[in-house]
Amino acid sequence: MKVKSRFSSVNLFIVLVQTMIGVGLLSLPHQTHHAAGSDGWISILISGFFIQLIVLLIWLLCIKFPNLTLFDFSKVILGKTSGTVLNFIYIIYLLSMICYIFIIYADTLKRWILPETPGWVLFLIVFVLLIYGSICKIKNVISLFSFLFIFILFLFFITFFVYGDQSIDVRYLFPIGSSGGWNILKSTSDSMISFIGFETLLIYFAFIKQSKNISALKGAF
Amino acid sequence: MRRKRNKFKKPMMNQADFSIDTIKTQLNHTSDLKDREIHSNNQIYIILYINSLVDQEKLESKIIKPLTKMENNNILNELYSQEISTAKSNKIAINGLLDGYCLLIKKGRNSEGFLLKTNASTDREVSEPIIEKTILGAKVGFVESLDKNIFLLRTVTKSPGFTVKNYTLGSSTTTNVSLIYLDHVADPEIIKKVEQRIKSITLDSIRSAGDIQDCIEDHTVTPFPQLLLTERPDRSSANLKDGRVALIIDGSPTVIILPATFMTFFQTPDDYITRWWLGSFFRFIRLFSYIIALILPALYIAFVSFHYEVIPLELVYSLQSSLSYVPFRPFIELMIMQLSLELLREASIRLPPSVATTFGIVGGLVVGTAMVEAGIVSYGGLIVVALTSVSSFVQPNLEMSSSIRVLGFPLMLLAATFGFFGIVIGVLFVLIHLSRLTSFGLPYFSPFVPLNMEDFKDTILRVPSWMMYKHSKSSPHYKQEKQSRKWKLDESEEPF
Repeated sequence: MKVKSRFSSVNLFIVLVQTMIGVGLLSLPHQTHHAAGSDGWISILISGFFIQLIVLLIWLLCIKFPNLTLFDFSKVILGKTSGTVLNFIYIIYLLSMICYIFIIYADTLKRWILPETPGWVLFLIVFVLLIYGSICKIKNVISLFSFLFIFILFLFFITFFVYGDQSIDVRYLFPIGSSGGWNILKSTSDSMISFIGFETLLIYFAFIKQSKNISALKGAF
Repeated sequence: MRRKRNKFKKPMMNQADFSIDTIKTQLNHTSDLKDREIHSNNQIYIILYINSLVDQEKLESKIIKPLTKMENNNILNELYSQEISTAKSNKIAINGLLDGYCLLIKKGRNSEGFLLKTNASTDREVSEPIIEKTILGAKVGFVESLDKNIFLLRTVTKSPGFTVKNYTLGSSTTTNVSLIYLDHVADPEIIKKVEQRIKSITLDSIRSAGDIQDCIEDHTVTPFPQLLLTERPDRSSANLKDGRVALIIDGSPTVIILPATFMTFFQTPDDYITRWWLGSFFRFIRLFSYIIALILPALYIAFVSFHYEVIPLELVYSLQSSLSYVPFRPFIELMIMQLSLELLREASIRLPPSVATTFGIVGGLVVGTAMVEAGIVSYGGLIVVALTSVSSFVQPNLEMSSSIRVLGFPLMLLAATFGFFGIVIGVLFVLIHLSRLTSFGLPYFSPFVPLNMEDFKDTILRVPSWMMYKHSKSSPHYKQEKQSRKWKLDESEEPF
């Protein structure tokens, strides 16, 4: 099945940022600090490097099959049976990711805003919203993301406020590597979770205007 | 139908297959159907007309008089009527009679029938629009007559591209509807879509513009209007020049403009008359007041029942001192206030203007203050409801401001249940809904979703008119020169 609708690489960038920045980002400092202590920033850098590597691999894979999503070209590569199995695994993976995000979301909300509300109510609300948002054309989803991206930009303003804080000191990062290389690598896997979302590229890539392969890659990074 | 027949400048003289008796039977021998026999030049003519629809004066002077003095038998040359056409069948003849034409039948071996325009008009004078008032705009509003409305539009839209297409809608009673667009500007795709949708209407009868609106809009289950109803010729004309399409319905002073997107409802003719920064400011105020009217009650509920830690401490004390006498929850309190306000609004519509002022003072001031002093609502709730209603009155379009009322209550409910989180969910829901809406295939929430910075120039901003060289997506053919202002401030002159 060839996909028909197209969007530009700028839109791809926006969609990826929206998929990656989510509830996972809220728990990122806590998780990395838990495993690697003050060396958490190194593990974040490492995970960033790995992500770039994986994105490159996805890109190399996807340009071989223009206009096809993962669900189609997996059957071409692996044959019908194992391709279907792979697709199934991918869907299971995405569903489990949704579950993971839901759990963190409910946890955060319960901790901060609604301590007494039962969990299933929170799940129900966001589930209805999710389903309502996703039952429409991909064009609509993308265009909605591009509007909401304006609000993501506000995050940068918040960052500026944080850097204005007096208690921030670069010297707190020292001594570098005190928690040990193994711990840093271990916390890399934790911090990877908050960057999850780039693997949806396997599907989104088919929708990119094919004339500009390089710009698609640019959008992905 | 009427206009379509005009295309036959030389009517074909074929044999008509109608008889007076059949027409009379089909019109149920109604008492105001009159016929009159006239002998002239050795020929018998019968004039058939509906008495109540025909201008007697016109009939006497323009048809009967010349007919009796006729020298030869060429009707087309001798009679002074604006429109003459042959009636080829009973159906055409009856439709003509119902439109106020009189049917002239030449008796003989081959009965010939002619329809002559003698309709009486009861047009009221063109007056200032009542609902859509402007400060500096034209003081002209549409009236109830189709022809006069087209005339009003044509006088402000002089262009050879001005195209009128007529339709007769309704199966049991008929209504004439005109589709108007500028041929060189409007998108042919949209026109095709509109035409197809209008033709497919098979309603029994068209009561008002609302019936047509129901039949041609993209989405029915939505609080957001997708067609702009206006009573201003200048507003319609500006929209026509932007590539939109106007629908005029006979007997209705409201004209439908389509396709309308979200931001269309925030534009007024005044924006383009005042200077650009003032126009932009007004637009911004309108958009801001829309958001305020939508979420302020919900925010208030969330503040006082969940998140009192985000308001300043002094305000907490004063709010709390007023709230402590109120036995209801904030949600119930606001509902009482909103409901009584809706009552006031509904009541004041039907009151004569002189009473309405007194009524506003009694209803608004006295009841409001008394309610606070009696401890039914708090000061905070009163302020919030008053601000909300004032913001909803800022909206230039009635239908857009009523969408606030529909959306406001669910948002209040969500805020009462989940606080800020509920508002976020509700607003997200509205945003998703807006991004899914289309108006004749155009994205409804257009400059925002999909994000298009180019279109901001005439939506949330109103840039100087020489800078609007590329208009919205609804008019792909509309192109103004990039720099329409052909002069520059003289820079050679030295300031000192």
